[in-house]
Amino acid sequence: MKRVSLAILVVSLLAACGGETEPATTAGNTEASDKPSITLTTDQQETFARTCGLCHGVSGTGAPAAQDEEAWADRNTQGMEALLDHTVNGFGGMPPMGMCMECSQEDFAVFIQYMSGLECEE
Amino acid sequence: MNKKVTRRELVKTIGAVGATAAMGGWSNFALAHCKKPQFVWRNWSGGQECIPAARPAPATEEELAAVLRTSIKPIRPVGSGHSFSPLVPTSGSIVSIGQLAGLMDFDTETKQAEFGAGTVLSQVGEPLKELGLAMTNMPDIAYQTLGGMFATSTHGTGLTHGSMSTQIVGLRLITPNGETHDCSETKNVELFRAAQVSLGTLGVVTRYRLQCRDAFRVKEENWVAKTEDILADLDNLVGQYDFFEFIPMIHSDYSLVIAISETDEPVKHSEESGEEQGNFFMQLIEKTHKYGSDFPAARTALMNMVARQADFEPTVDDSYKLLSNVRNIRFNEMEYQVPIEDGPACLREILSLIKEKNLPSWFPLEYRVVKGDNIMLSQFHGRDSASISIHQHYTMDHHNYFAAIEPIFWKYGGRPHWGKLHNLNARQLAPLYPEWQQFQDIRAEMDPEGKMLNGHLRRLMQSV
Repeated sequence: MKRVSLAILVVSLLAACGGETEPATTAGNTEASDKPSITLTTDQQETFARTCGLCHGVSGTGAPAAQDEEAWADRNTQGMEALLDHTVNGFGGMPPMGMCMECSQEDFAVFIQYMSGLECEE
Repeated sequence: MNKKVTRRELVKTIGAVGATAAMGGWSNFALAHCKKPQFVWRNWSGGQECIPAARPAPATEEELAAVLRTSIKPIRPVGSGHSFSPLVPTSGSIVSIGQLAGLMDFDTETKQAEFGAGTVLSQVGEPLKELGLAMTNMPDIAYQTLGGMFATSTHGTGLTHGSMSTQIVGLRLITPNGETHDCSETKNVELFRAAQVSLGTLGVVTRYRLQCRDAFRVKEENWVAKTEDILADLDNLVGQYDFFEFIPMIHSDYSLVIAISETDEPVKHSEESGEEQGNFFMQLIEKTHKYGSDFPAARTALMNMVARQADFEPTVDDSYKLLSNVRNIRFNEMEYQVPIEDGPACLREILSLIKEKNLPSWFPLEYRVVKGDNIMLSQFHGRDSASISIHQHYTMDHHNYFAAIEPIFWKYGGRPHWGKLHNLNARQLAPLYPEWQQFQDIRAEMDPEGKMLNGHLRRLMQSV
């Protein structure tokens, strides 16, 4: 869609009045890191593919791509606890439980670690 | 000689005794939470939640049968959790069908393919394309499961296309007592017609056989036009395009048109994907309303200006890549199906009420058309329908907004979408469905103990 320059200018001025800004999203950048944080088992890969991977593995969804260090850098500063909370309870466009109806918090932590490279806190 | 007890020692002792007494008085639920935090299940929008006793995810039909026989009831199956209505919440067992997924069988002669019910819609297109096949139509949301989609009478748009359940030619149902029933258009026909749309009340359908067609490409064209102009030309537009719908932007005079038709033109991608264009458009509308809602006249003028300047590039691609989308803006939704001839009048009343009362919302509506069918609990049973949806952003309260509009749907004899929010019960639903009692008789036979009914479904299925 061609950028609607006048409308965007007006709306941008309005947006500058306040309100939160969401972390920068990644559109279509699926460049993978050279060093995956962890390796998923076969079962975990299958679960990931039909849940988190539906958004984090597809461009244009607004979700940070799995193992895209640049996309996850800002998010990782929030820490594992915050990312886990977002996953379990939903955050922005991400639904609660990230489509995995049977996953435990431990399962989610593994997938977050896999996508973000963030180490689980002791 | 007695030992003197200091005041400090006395207080400490009382505290210890009190703590011990409190432990003995804690509920099992509290104690369980101490050992391991209880998991709160929530649906896609976050509007529905519950604390289930168990969340099994059987990997095979045999495991599922055992789960259904033995799980804590009420038992509710779940796909992606995309339903807005409380079909899933239970204090018993939420059974995930997620592992019952994938392409299971196909026949390129008859152009039929069989998928596990837990297959997510976005995972259907590619396997079918590899066989030279495609679904005849698809709904908007790409991450719902086939099971959830069919169970709730979900649909796309297009007057020559029925709801998604009309594509089913066979299915396998496992009942709450673990029995397996294979049904089709020629085998166990009445059970088949009931199970095509059954809200997970007969048991769990584990696989669906679909009538597909040769793979095809479509061309999507988008433009913005005055809502009244679209309504005046609606019959022509619906007849001209294979898959036609429009998105009325409330608090403005305009709608976004989404017109898709089959084509043999070569693939052509726009600069941004359909999802990116659509999601950007929504964010623009949201910001306009956020800062303009206190000034209705100015907001309408700004919305109209934005609408008039919108310009979209047509896109050509495989059907499954354009008919179904990933939406990253969460919301709650109410949708009703009214007789197609009443659609324009119903929509006009809704838009008029929103404007008159300045109802608090910014989310556009949606207007689609669906061909009638003969499925027992299909929302489109016996009549071509106009499907009208209203939405509220998930962070905003929807109750008053939906409650203000819902009576308009009732006035036109509307049938609510099973998976979306509504306030009808069995007494009000029964007259809307000519085969209501046939369905209830089959349901009682398949689930005599009512194991599959949570509170919401008891209200829907059982007259008080």
